[in-house]
Amino acid sequence: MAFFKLFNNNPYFKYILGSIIFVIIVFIDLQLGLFASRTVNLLIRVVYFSVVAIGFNILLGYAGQISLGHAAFMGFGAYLTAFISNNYGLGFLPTIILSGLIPMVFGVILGLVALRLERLYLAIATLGIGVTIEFVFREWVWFTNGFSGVRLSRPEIFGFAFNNSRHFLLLSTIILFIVILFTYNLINSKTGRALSAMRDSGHAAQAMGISLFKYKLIAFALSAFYVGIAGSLYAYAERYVHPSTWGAELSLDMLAMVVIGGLASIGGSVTGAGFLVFVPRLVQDLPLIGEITNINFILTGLAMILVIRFMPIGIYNWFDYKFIQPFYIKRLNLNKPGGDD
Amino acid sequence: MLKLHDISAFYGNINALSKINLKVKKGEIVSLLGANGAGKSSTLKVISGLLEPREGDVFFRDNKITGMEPEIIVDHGIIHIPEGRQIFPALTVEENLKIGAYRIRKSTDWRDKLDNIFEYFPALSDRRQQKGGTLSGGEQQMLAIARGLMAEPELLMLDEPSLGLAPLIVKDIFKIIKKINSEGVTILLVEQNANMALKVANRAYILETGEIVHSGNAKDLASDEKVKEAYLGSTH
Ligand SMILES: Nc1ncnc2c1ncn2[C@@H]1O[C@H](COP(=O)(O)OP(=O)(O)OP(=O)(O)O)[C@@H](O)[C@H]1O
Ligand SMILES: [Mg+2]
Repeated sequence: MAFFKLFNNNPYFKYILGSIIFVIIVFIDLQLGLFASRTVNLLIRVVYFSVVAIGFNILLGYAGQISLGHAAFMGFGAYLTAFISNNYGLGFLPTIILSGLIPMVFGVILGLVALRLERLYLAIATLGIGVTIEFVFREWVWFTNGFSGVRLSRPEIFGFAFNNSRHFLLLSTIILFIVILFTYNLINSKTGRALSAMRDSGHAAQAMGISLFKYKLIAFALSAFYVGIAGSLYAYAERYVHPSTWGAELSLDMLAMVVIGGLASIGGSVTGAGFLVFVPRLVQDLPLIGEITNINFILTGLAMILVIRFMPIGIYNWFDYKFIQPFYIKRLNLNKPGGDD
Repeated sequence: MLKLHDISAFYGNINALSKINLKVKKGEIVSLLGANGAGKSSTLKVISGLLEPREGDVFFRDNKITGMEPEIIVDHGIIHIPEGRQIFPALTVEENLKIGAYRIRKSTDWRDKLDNIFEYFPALSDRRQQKGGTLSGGEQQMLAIARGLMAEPELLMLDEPSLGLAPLIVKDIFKIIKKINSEGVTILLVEQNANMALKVANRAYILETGEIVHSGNAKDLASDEKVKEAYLGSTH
């Protein structure tokens, strides 16, 4: 009872517990080989896309800013990881942090653009940047190795090589765990409230002394940092980075994850990432439907339309609202449902 | 305390304010009245830094604050509650209030302050965890005012707090404004509801198409024939 109450009053525990369970399952898998190796690879994708979706959600869900060019930051993070580990042989941690920090600087620059443009115009401008960057990655050969792409090896921490996918899944899950807890604290801090205030009403936020200049830059910088880190995880996971991966489709996938899973919600971000990784895979195995080319684009589009039409708060929040909250209220006779983030 | 000197302001080519002169003394309630589009909101925006005037200066306690960034002006103690109840709908009542205290560095006593605020607004106290957007219109207006108070203003500027509210709630809101004033906060009040505004105010200014056409003691203005005819309705 007290346990449930704790949960309901402080969603923080939900995230800690959820993350711990996830890490434990992955750990057990490491020992016993629970999942097929194909599933392990899919789970790794869910993990790095979760980091992407959380970062993108800070921008879109919490701060109310749009970008359709964020794939560029992910690609940049991935290339940086390949470049740094191939040329300088830095270890996993310094590499992944640099692969977040350098895109973050470019995030600030994009934030400066966002100060001048709003909404639709911002979407168009960032889409333009996103389309251009694919060409930049192709032509910038000394950094990206152009069309041939770059290869790299799995990471090493203190001499331990994460050669096995299962080991790497555990490592990236721990990174996701840290990202989730950091994000939870961030959005419940003064900074998080200021971001939401900016989203809800720019004028009123300004009148309360919130500098839109500062928080737009923070939103873009943070999201670029997250997405850069996810790019780094991508590079280590796939061990191959190619320029055509970082086009507009990926940016639109980021948007889809956040909209489908749930805006302004960490759980929603993870749900959205899981949805985009798993659902197309499941459908591919179906007879007939699975044979349609580009079925995953069609599915994503359809899912977005359905979610916006029937559960605009996103799958995760809808589920939380429909089933989890009523469960608490019934079990505990609470008349005050605890809010999610 | 506050002085506007020959303020002119434009939106592109639209002249919203021409040579406005206005003064608010410490401890006063001053009303700013006028028809739609007269420039009332624009005047408040100029003071709070949301709109940069093309000419003229704003002084607050002998400091020139013209053209400063809005967040710096908040630091000076001027709080603007914009028209249309711009609360943050996705945040809870408590979070909305915390944002009010955004600029206050010492975070130690903000809980006391919350309790204090809930004394003014008991209706909000039962709704701490409710999302701002789900409050009724009157509650939202209370929240907007409460949020402003969290910033410990010296000058509180309210833009049409009575807009769209039932007469009984309007009465409550004006009572609260008086109470806030009696505890030492100077108030600049923009209103369409001239009757009410002149009742609570010490002095008033009347704007017409960006210019001040009448000013003076609230009582005198309330009994002035021309003002009555134009702003208070003939039944007064
Ligand atoms: N953002 C804007 N862009 C262009 N013109 C504007 C803008 N805001 C206000 N104006 C114009 O400036 C003039 C003064 O507007 P203001 O909002 O100050 O009027 P007001 O006295 O507050 O009116 P109301 O009682 O309707 O709120 C109006 O003619 C209005 O059309
Ligand atoms: Mg107005």
